Amino acid sequence: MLKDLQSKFKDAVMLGKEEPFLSEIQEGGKIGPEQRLYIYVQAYKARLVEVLAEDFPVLHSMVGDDMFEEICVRYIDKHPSTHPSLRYFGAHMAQFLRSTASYKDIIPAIEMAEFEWAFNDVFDAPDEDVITVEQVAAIQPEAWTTLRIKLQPSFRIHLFKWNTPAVWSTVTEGLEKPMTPQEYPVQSHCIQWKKELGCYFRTIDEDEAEVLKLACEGKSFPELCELLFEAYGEHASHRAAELFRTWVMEGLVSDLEYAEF
Amino acid sequence: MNKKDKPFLGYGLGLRTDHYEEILSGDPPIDWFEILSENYMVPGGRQLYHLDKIKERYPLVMHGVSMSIGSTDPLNMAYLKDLKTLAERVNPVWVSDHLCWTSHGGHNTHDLVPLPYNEETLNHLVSRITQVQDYLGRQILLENVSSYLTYKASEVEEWEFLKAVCEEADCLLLLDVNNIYVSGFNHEFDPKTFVDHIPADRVYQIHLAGHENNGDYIIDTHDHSVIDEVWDLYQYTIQKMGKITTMIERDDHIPPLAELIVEVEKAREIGEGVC
Ligand SMILES: [Fe+2]
Repeated sequence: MLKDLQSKFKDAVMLGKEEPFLSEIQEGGKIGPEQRLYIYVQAYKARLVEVLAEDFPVLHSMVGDDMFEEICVRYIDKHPSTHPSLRYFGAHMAQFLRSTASYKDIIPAIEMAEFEWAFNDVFDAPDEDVITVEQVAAIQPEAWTTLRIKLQPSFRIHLFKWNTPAVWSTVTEGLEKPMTPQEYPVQSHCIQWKKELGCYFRTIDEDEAEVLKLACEGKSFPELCELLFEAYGEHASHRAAELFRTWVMEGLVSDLEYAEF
Repeated sequence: MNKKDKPFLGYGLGLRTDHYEEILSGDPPIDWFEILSENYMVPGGRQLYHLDKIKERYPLVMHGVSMSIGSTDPLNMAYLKDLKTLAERVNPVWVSDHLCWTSHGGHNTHDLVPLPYNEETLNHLVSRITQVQDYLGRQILLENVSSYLTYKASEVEEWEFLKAVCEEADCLLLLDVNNIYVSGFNHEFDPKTFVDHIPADRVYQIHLAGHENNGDYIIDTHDHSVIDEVWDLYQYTIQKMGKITTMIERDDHIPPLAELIVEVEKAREIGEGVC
């Protein structure tokens, strides 16, 4: 039966249960059934390790070859590919590290996996036109009370305890002595997004992070100002406008919604 | 597509990310490109941006690796939907995948695993190919894969099986001449016998690639230049079948474009010289 045969192949390649499949292979030729199967077993593992190495180059350099290989082998066992495209294979890496006893305390590695993976999602997120400074200038003063901001689909926000983005930069730039991972005095947010096909990121202040989260939830501009009131008092709307202008210039905003007056 | 008007696209190359800039900034003498469908089945970004640019200048065909046509899992309709959406964007001359299986029980091996060549597989394939062709609204091309093992359950030779599949399912063939050579070496058959049995009118495209010879067996790595024996087999193939749309397929150790153009030109020389 074809179904049994495929099941046996899968067990041999993915679970190392080789006997049932070996008995399906025709003997003869220069190499035996074991070696023939071994070609497929090796190719399966090598292909997936290669994909993970491409998706997590900085994680790889942080933990070194041996540990990276060990991580990959365990990851492949735990999360066999369920998507037709290899593009999505590494999606569970950060969560895998976080939930595996031997890795769960290596916070910089977990954060790096999260950060590196997010670049993939940012990179091929839907491309939307972004709001321009001119479009913002055209908003009537009265309309600001009803304004809601839509961030573009590539936008991602992370909370890091370590200097993960800085380490990523120095490793990626190929510096001879990349920055070593260090714990921040206080945890810090980092945002990632795409602008004109390039991926960008920056570490942001706590108030900006809170406001961005509200904006993502679809809260209005006055609600964003309200959040800033505690820290900025009467300057809250000024700070909110300043943040908004930055996001527009950075290409983070893909739509505005407001009532016409 | 009607078999009587089989298109001839000339001599092409597999489109690879490394060559985008060079292709778009120059005017390389390549007649057409084959894209790897899965690389463009994404919502947005640079891949699609470049694809749209290249599409304006060159005829394209789509080549997939994950249709898993021989799997006993249900057809992956989400995958087929994405494939169809991409085909609407690209407007390829044709769409191809491999005669093999890649997934089982919802898990993907990402390998082109051979099928046993028997009645059960044939019936299974014919029904699935028919469904896929109906859904996509076009005939598909299926490619012979390189294989490293033969099943006890196989009842006929690969070439007999391939002929039966394409005739009964009314699909087309992408003949990978290197894969014939590789499988011939690994299973000790004469590659020419394979070619002799393939119905020429079904063969719409040819792949040429390099491989790694380990002495006792050959691994189909697509990371070397085409070897002389494969060039000879290509010549033999088109002598028998007539001129066929041909391309160079390189997936690893990707050299500068110029180096691959030399191989494309060699294919052109052989192809145009023979016919
Ligand atoms: Fe091929």
